[in-house]
Amino acid sequence: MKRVGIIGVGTMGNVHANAWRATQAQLAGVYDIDEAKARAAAERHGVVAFANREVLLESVDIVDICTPTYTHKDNVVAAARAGKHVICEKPMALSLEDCAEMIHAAESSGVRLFIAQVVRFFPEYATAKRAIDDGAIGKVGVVRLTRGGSHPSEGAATWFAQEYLSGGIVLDLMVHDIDYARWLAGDVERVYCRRFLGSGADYALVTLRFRDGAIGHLEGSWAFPAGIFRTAFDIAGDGGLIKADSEISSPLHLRLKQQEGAKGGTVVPSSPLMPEDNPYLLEIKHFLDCVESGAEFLVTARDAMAAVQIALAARQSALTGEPVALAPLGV
Amino acid sequence: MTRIGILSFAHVHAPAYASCLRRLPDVEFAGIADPDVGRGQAAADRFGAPFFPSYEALLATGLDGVIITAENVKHLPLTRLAAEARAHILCEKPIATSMAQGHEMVAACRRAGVELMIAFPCRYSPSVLALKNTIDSGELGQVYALKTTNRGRMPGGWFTDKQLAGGGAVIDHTVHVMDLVNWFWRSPVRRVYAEIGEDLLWHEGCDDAGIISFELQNGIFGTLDASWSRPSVFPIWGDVTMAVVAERGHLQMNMVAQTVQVYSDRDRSVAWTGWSSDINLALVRDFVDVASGKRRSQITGEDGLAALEVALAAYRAAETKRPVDLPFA
Repeated sequence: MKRVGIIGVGTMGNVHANAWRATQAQLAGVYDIDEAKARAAAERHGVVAFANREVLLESVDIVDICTPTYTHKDNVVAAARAGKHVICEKPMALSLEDCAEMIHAAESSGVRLFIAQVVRFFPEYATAKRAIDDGAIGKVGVVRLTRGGSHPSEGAATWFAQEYLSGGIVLDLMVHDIDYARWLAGDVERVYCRRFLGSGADYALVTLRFRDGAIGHLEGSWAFPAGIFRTAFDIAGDGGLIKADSEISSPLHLRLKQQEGAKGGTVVPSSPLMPEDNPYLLEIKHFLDCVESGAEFLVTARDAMAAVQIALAARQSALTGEPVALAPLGV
Repeated sequence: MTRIGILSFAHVHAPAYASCLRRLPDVEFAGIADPDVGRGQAAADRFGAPFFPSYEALLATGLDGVIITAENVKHLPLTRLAAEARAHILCEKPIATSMAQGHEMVAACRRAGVELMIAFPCRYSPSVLALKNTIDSGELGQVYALKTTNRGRMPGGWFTDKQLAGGGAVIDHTVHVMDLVNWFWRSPVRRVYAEIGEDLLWHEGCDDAGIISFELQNGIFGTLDASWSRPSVFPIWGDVTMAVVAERGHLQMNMVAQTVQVYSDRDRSVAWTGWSSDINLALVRDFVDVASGKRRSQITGEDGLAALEVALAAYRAAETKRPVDLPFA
């Protein structure tokens, strides 16, 4: 039985811990630079809190990295050098150099590296991909994807709100849709982006030109009022159209009456699934299956790096006001 | 009675305008002129209006106003004819296929002392007006960005013939939304970028999809999806949407959201049938007032030109793969 250690037990670390506990692997323990967080997570999941990263690396076969983006490279390289297979949260890293180093570290140590681009495992996105592969809309021509909510400064983990730590809206949030767009329409030739970045708001509109001629439009928002989180896609081909919108496809909408002294009027939509359909569980099971069978991952480390490249190009375009042409990855 | 005629039934909006002329009081539907005799005669029979095989013959009867629903490239010659006959003009959008043609239309109407009004019916939509009122009220605070769409099915016919239409989906679907943006903010577009796709969706030999980025002088930026990206089985003709991202909130409009969803086993069809207020009727009613001399046109040839310029700049940007600064032509 493979033993798993999670580094970083913020929101995603705990989500991954729940998923691991539903697999054939054994969640051995967690490590976090914040000792209190590590102890709380260890207790919650009934595992040990490792004293430091080195102890964790010595104790497990698989390392799951759920730390903030700016620490991904350091943790992935350390885990790879220790000979451990690695699953690492998205976005892969903040620079292409870091991505290349991570790939090199995994390949030279002979371990597998998987970047958790979880959107490919979300049921509506996976269903649309299957329908497209099935020919339902012919050849993909226009890909429109949207994803947005309120600014992360309104939540707990404030490093998200720091561009130099998280990469900002384009790298942290839009990398989901960038990866999905590449999955549908292939490699990207050119990127254009306009962005508003101000206090409590980060909003970007990205235009993509794919190598095979298709065009794409991505909206990423950390500028909506609190309580809204919306994803939607609209994918047109030469034989049809596939659409989905979380506002429409959520079977439940909770609307609470305004209570005295509390905020009211917020609508909380939810889209419940059976535990076995949880996209994080599907993603982690896929990783585990591929590690055990040697099969190729659905999303390779180079795919994840290509998504980072597009995000960085979009950020550059937003700064210069010019479209950015993409070069081959070179790894 | 205000005497109004229709010049050409080439455009798909002509039947809607004809029906409005029939329904409005104090309007005499003076006739339909169309060199395509079969098409014109059928329309005249359907709407109970006299038919004229030549534009000159209809104009010679003495009209207060004409609605021009010819192919885009014919807007200029028909505007000249109508202006010479001293008829006020409601011209289908886009105003023309080039800035030079549009400027000539404006000049011809000014010389003749007739009003030139461009058919932007979205300005009359109560949903659009509610959006405009919210923006004007300042309730949203500073506006950062706009995400807009005007998507439709492929209209077919001459719309895919660049010689007659001046382009494909982008010239067809850029101007409605850009007119709204121009009208809302009265801040000229200073920069345009676009990725435009030819034969991505329909294989008709013309552009059928475009993502246009625009930036206003006041700093607001946005995108417009001007595409024929709705398949023929799509349950409604298309959409006009605008999302406003602002300091104090988010405002989203879908102009055609007011529908009932009809699922019929009779002909195995699904249709979202609209029940929104009739914006074509409001447009034509306004034009009848202009033609009868009650007021000046509120949607001018200059407005038509400003919207057209964005479409033409989008084609230029897509061709050069560079942003285009306005005014550019």
